[in-house]
Amino acid sequence: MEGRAEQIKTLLNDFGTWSVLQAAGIGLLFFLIYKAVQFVLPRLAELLPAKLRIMVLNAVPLSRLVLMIAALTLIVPLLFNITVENFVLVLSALGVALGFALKDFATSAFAGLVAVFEKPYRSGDWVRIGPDYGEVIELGSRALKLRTADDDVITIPHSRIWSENIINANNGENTLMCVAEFLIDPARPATGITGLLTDVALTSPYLDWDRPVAVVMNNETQGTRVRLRAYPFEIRDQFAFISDLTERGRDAMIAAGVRIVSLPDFSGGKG
Amino acid sequence: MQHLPDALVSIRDFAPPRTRATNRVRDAYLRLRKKLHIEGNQGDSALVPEDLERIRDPILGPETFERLESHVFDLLDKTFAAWIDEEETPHRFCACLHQESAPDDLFARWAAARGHDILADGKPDGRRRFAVLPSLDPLCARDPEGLKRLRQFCDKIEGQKTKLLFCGSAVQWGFLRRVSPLGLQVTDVRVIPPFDGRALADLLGIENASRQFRSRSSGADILKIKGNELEDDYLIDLAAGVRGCPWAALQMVNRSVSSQQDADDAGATWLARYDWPGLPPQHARVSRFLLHAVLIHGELAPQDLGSALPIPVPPGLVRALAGLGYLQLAEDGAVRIVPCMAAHIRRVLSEAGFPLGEV
Repeated sequence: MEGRAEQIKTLLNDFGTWSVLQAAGIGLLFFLIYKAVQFVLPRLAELLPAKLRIMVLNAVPLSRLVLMIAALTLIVPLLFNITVENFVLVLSALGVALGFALKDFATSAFAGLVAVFEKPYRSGDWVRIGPDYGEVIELGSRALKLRTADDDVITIPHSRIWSENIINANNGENTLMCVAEFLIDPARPATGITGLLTDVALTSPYLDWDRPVAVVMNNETQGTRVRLRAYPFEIRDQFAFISDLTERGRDAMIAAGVRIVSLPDFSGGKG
Repeated sequence: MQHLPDALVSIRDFAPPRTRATNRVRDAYLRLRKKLHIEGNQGDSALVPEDLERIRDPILGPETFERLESHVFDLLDKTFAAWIDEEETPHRFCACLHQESAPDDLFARWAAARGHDILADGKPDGRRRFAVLPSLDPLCARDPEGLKRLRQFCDKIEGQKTKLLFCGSAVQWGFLRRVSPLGLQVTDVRVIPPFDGRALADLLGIENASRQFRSRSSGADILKIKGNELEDDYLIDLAAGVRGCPWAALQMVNRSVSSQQDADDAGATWLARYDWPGLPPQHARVSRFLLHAVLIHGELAPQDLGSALPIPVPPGLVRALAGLGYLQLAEDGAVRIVPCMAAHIRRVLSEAGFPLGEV
């Protein structure tokens, strides 16, 4: 027992109220700096040219990591007497604490750390995790927040990266592929549909000129599914772009005599 | 006039003049302040388009513009004269582009002055040996019907023997290249070269050799040379601000004369930095789409606004943009970009990620 008490004595510095206050002050200061960064950078990103927006947004989680390391570097020597033995002791104590009390938090926090470097998602990316699709608006230490097209904010723990596929639609770029789908009558010739829909995409005001436009068709039980694929120049216009392609594409096909298949409503009017 | 550019440049080599690195930081900072609605540009003029109407006597008159035009016509002759005269050439189609801030009828006047045939309506005529299409406006309609007409035009010229010189704005060319085979058919694309600060100083000196121009923000003589460079940043910044378009630069100088009578000490003319207007804050997004559509179409009739834009244009927006100096309205309601604002519009659209072509 005496040996353990001695170990604990040597582990902790001979600190008084002043050291604790200093540590608390440093912690608070870095927390405030992080909050300021978290407040300022996303707003600044909105004012900057589009190509800089995602880069600036990504500085938020990175700055959190840097600030956390800097705070720990300053606080730990104030409270602990750092030797190899003490380091091992602290690690084992931490391991026990994390293993029992904070397992889920630690898993998510560690996954969050991995996510900073592995980048399955970044701020500003549009991702699908499970059934949820939206823009990553915040990368916290435990969880990320997605804003969906319906303006709902969904909080998802980082630990989902261990078990689920993360589908990233833009992967750090400022554009993503948008698809407008049509189901057409398979009994009529499809000649000319590719050109017709390509023109619809080429004349869209949302189109990114540097990216390809493609029309893909495949037969299904109900009809021929036609997918018009193109890229908008601004990622946040994706839904407007799809609407534009769908609206004008459908009208162009109807005007050209293509029959759009409409399926009977099996929901009994409940949907 | 020794610093004026001496040749048209290939589209791949076009590099607009840039300000000094420190000024780029300053400009970015000022733009940010403006977006944050913090008043900036202390010491500079707060000239807005309404004020500009009050400037009755431009300091740069027709002589300067005539000399500039004559120089550009010479560059066009130098580049295309031999090609025009060639009887057999594999390069049947060439293009010469200008920035959107150049005069709309520049190429039409060049072609008329040199006696070349002009396809003003954009309809190919196989009976001619050589013709100039002085504007890309007739080919640029961003709708499926417009694309159909464009492709018919491309098919038609392919089957004829007429040598064609396509002339027009760089944004329009970027659009045409994307949506039609013209990018493959035209083998050589040249651009009117950008004029840097020294070239602008030469132009300023044409009518004002004895006049002293001073920058209102620095107080320095803007034409003074130190080493081999302009000592003051005014003309360097101006060249960068208008992306090297000399017509726009000269018009901006005319617009930037600051309190000429009051501050005219020691015979100097004081020039302020032009304060580019912002877009209407509540309608910035639709304004950008509108300006982009007008850049592509060249001229947009009121009845075409609906089909050219993906979102409804709020009533009064066109007039608001005209009031801010972005658009000019014809009597029939058709809208065009105010030429000297084109570089600023490009900057606004480029920052928002709009596609603008190669130049």
